[in-house]
Amino acid sequence: MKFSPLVQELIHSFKCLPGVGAKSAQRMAFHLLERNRIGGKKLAESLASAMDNIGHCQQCRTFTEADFCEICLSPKRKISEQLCIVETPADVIAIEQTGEFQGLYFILMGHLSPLDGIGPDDLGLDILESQLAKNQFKEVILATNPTVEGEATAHYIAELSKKYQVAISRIAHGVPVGGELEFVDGNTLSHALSGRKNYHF
Amino acid sequence: MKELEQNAFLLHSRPLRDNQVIAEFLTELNGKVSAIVYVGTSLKSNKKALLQPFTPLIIVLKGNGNLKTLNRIEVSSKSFLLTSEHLYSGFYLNELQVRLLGEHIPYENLYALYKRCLVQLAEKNAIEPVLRRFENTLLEELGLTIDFSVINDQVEQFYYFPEQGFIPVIENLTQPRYSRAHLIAINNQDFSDVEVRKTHKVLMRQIINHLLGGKPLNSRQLFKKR
Repeated sequence: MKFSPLVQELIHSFKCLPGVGAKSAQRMAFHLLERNRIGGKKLAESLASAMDNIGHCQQCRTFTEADFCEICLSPKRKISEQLCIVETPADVIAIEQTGEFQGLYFILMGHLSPLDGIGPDDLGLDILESQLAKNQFKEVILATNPTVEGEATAHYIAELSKKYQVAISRIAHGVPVGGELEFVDGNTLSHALSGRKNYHF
Repeated sequence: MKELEQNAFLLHSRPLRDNQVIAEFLTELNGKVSAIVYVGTSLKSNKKALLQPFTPLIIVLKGNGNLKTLNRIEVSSKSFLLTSEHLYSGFYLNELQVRLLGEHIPYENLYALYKRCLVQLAEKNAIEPVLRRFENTLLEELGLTIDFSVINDQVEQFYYFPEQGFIPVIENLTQPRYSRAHLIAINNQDFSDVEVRKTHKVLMRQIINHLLGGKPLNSRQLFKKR
């Protein structure tokens, strides 16, 4: 059986979401049509305006509809001397939730991955260089993921920032809180051991 | 069916669904194999930590088709810690294999050689000889040997044409030229001269570019800006 063209198109459109196949798309479409027309309309409106208006922050490349994002505009952070480099906007949220970091961010929107065809030119490193050239920062914190690709990205950026006289640091690797050493994989554990710190009283 | 344990290295993995990835392994017995891997999203699952390149793995694959499913995965020893350009070189080796190797063709010497190359890269040995030796063996395993016998002493310079071999320079072509002395040195595995190494690099690059069908290797970009 075939649905009418409009219904068919709606189902098909839902399939562009990650993790949504034919069945889930159908379920979503029917749910909105049957039970939640208001919610559906709202979704359509916010989708339309988001797709039209949201771009990248000119300074840190996060998603925002304004020229600069809130973090970059904050007066306290504007004069900060730390720059934290992360892979995705989700990483910014994660770090923000810790409340440990009061500096500025730079978001790469990915990592170097030659086999997927993502090279240095795709990570907005020219914008990063222009930021570093302003000489505002004293420290660059490399907070890319602890994967081989993330490590490669961190190294590439470290080499790039060397000429700007900044301290370059890499976030530590270690055992998760509440974890058990027994179940931690060998690589993480060896990183945790080799990067151990002096005990502070 | 008895399950077959074998040594392997991950070459590349890409996400398939939320909790699945397609991974390409270089295995000791079956050559390059693609497999679907279920990676749990729970905190206890450490499969993602195992699915990193340059880590010696022991894997068990199941399935009859071309695309296997990963049954079991363990780490067999510590992963090779590559840094800076040695890391980029590791990517280069992986990319070469992902692009050039056929699936399920057992390449006899490749696994051992790949491992040896990683050891040398991890020890921060000079990169070039490692890469050249790997390229040489890779080409041999692909069934491509370079015929040096046509090099005689009447001509000083040669062009290299894929599928034809060396041809003496007569006309002017926009192709790299190779001097006879350098080619003889390459044939004798004598790489003491810097110029010979450069020639070897250009020659390898020409052959590999031809095999890749003109599509550039992305990992070369990483070396560019220095």
